[in-house]
Amino acid sequence: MSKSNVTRRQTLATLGKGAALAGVATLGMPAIVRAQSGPIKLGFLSGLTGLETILGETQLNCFKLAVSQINAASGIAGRQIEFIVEDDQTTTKGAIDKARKLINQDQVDATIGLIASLTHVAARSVTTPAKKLLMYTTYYEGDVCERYFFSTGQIPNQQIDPSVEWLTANEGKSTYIIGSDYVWPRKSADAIKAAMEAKGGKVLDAEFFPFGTSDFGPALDRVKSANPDFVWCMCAGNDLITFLKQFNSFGLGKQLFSQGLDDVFSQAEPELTNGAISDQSYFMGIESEENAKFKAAYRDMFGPKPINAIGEATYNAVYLYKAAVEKAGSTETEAVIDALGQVEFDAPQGKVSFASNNVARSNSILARANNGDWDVIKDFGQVDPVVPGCSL
Amino acid sequence: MEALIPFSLNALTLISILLMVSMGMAIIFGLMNVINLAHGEFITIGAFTLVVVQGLGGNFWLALIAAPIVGYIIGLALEKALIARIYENPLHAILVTWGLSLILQQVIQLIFGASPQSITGPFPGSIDILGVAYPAYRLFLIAFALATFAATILVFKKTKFGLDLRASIQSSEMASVMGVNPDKINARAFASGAALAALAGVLLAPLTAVTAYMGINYLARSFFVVLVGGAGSISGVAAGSGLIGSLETALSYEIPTTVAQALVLALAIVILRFRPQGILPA
Repeated sequence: MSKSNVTRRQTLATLGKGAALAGVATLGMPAIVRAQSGPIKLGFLSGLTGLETILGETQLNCFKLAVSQINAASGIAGRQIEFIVEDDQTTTKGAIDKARKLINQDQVDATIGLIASLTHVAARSVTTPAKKLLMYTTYYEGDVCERYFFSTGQIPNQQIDPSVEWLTANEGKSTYIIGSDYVWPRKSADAIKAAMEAKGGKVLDAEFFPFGTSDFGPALDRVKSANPDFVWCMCAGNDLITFLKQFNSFGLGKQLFSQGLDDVFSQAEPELTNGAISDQSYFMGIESEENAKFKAAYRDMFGPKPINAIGEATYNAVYLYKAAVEKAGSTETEAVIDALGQVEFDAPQGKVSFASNNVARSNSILARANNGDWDVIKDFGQVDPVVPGCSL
Repeated sequence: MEALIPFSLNALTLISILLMVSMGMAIIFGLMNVINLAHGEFITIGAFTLVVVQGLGGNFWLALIAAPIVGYIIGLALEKALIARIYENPLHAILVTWGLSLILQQVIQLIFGASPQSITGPFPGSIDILGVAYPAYRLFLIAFALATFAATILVFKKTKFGLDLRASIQSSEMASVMGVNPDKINARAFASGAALAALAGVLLAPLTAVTAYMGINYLARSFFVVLVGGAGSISGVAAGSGLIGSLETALSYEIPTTVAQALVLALAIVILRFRPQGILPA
């Protein structure tokens, strides 16, 4: 009896030590090893309320579509994707607060999304110093050169330059710019001026309006007096709808160009957008097997709703991230970033990959709105992104 | 001279927009002293009434009649359920109406979705005025806003409801001694304010994006119009929108619009510093 005298107290103590040891063993593992086994965490950050509401929903849907497809096909290197959705309310404060939350509290492996450029500037001020990956999926003013920032939308040399080339040759040499008052329209206006002047054209004037402007009457009055060959609009999100309504009511008889117009706008307002020209990396009308599959999967999940270039670029970003993690064999940010430059994805718009400036090579398709759809005027094909002085 | 016509019409359009969105605010905030942060959502409700009416096959004019009725009913229900309990404490009013505005925004977005709603306005073409083409709808808006303003003044100055309301605002106790039921008057006044905001929503819809958040754009400005014009008087709204609307339009022809809007707000603060009761106080 006495030889196997194990008291209850001893048993508890031994069990306790064992549990503690097991605990130490787990905790003692480097964090990176621990993180390599559980699900991969992605943060989706965008303007789901506020000015960009019209675009945020489609972008989130495309993100969810990519994640659900990847998870259904056994995830990224066998690991499922978990995601956290945060709304930046299309404000700088919202983008900073939510980017901090995603990084510090949720500890996401990467953040994907954003629409208005003011939010990518704000989010980068958090993600880049923290050395966390941020993937931006909207066409923008370019001009960013940061290791931790990747973008899958068009930049000026992929969107503005080809458009100006066609517009100056076919619509005329003078334009009048009306845009929202923030970084995207202001910096893009500089790119437009340079491109117009290079083609012997001229920007007669550029005017910028605060978010939520209710009356474009005075501006349209000045457009009429200036008499440009075409009007260039860079009003953002819901303000673009307000502008279209008032532009049409004034009946200036001018050709409208806006690189902010896409399938979401044209299907929401077929009459208002009719005849307007845009340049995007993706239109729903693209004929390819990938696009047909993409559109069918989207319809199955969300119903017959329009998809735009921002949504498609978001879908691509998730798949490019997947390819990079699988190539790197890890979700460790530095390794993923090194791998991102080497992977490609058969996107609905065609094969996409990143150039050495972390911007995606993407299509440039000039098209005219026709009762909700887009008729291709000129397909410039895939254009390599150029960010002057940037090689990462 | 020819340049002056579109300029004046543009100024009148902005004044009319401000007038329409501020009249309801003048009653609820100016007269009743309720800081109503859900004012913008009453405008949104009006615009979405138009969406529903057109969705059911009705036209703009039907919505113009339906929206104030919908606004009145919702306003009445909200006054009975929430606002009637918070007249004593302005701080409670701020919190309650702010919460209310968030709830209304989300409910509208849940029902109708995030995308702007497509609506059809009347008078798509332009009209020639002394050789200058100007959108017909804007001319209608100007005329309608002025008519609505005149009608509201008449209601407040000439009807028993107007008299009872003014009496119960001056002295609720005295008014109730004289046989005025303040609860009933308050409810009707709040509902009328909501009805006017809803009417503004229908009128704005052909000019702007119709979304669940459209009302936010008008909240701060309608507060400013009422404060600058003079809280407590309906005619003050005309003074406030007249000053802010014409200044903003005039300045926007000379300097960037963003700066013009900031300057006008700065000027409004200066005016309030020297005339805290507003331009045309009660």
